Amino acid sequence: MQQTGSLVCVGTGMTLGSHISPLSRSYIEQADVVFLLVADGITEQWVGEMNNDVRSLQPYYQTGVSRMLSYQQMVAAILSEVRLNKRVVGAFYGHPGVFAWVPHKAIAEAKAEGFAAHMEPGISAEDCLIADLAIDPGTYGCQHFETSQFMFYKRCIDTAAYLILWQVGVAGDRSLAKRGTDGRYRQLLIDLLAEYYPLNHQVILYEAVTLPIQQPRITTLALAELVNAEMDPKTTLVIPPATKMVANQQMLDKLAALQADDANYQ
Amino acid sequence: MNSNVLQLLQRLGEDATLRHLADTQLEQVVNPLNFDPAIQQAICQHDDIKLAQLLHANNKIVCMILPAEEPKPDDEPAKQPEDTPEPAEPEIKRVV
Repeated sequence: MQQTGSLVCVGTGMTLGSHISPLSRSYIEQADVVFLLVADGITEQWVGEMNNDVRSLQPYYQTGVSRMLSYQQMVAAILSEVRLNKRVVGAFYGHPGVFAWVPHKAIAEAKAEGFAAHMEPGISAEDCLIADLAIDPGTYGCQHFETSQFMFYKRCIDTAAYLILWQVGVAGDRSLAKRGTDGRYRQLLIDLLAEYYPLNHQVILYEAVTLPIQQPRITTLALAELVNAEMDPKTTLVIPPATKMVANQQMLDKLAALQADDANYQ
Repeated sequence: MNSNVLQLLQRLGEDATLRHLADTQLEQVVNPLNFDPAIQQAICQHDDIKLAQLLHANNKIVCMILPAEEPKPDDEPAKQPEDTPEPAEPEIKRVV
């Protein structure tokens, strides 16, 4: 039997009205069903006006229940409509493929079952961060981690590059059920970061704008002050470089030798 | 009413001449509109929480969509003979 159902996961961008691409909007408007997960209730209403069948994925989040279960239920809800051979769109805030489990999983499952499925990019929180903080990830390099994952695993940190930790407001939550963790958890994160950075190193707490009447949150503070800082699930921690890049002289010498060879052949 | 307010917010977001208005200019755009004065005030005062209340928007929004899985025993790379490929990436790397 021919599979006529399809799934497209699109990004709505971060800021209402500013970021959604014409193509993503068109997919939303033309879908049979739209599953929606955005970062504020007003944007939820705004996207809700683009199609007659927009279903929020927010009800799948339940207090005290692991988010992993919620994510699995979201994927199941999306796939159930694809299997009914509908044109399904998953609309997610920011970029649907950045720090987002549900869109990747839903697309993979749809493809595995023979349905057409793909992703359309959106303007992510990272994109907003780069613009609002006026930093270029190419200048020193840039490392991104989900904060809890950063704490759960041993990682190699390059202190000469930017380090960006997402979801710092739920740092260290092993249950995946919390909407925020307190200073005790954050102190463990500070202890971990203090292995690499001085406690007075200036770091930034950042939150992108979701409504065009807001201003981005840009709070500069010392690393040690993170313990008492106000946090939100959408808060991101940006740690600028603390050391200078060290030249790899061995590699530079090898490259110089290659360059000399090239010159001899010419 | 909500529809008109949402259209205004969209215009404020997408129109280069409106995107970064000073407060007095924002009032000049918003005040002539036939909105509930409380909504006009919330917009002009950049009070997104009040605006969400007035629009009866969902205020229990969760915006976390990445699970941070803990290491499983399977994540430990098994000792391999030297000529075999690297072990598969742990699950957490695939979900990022």
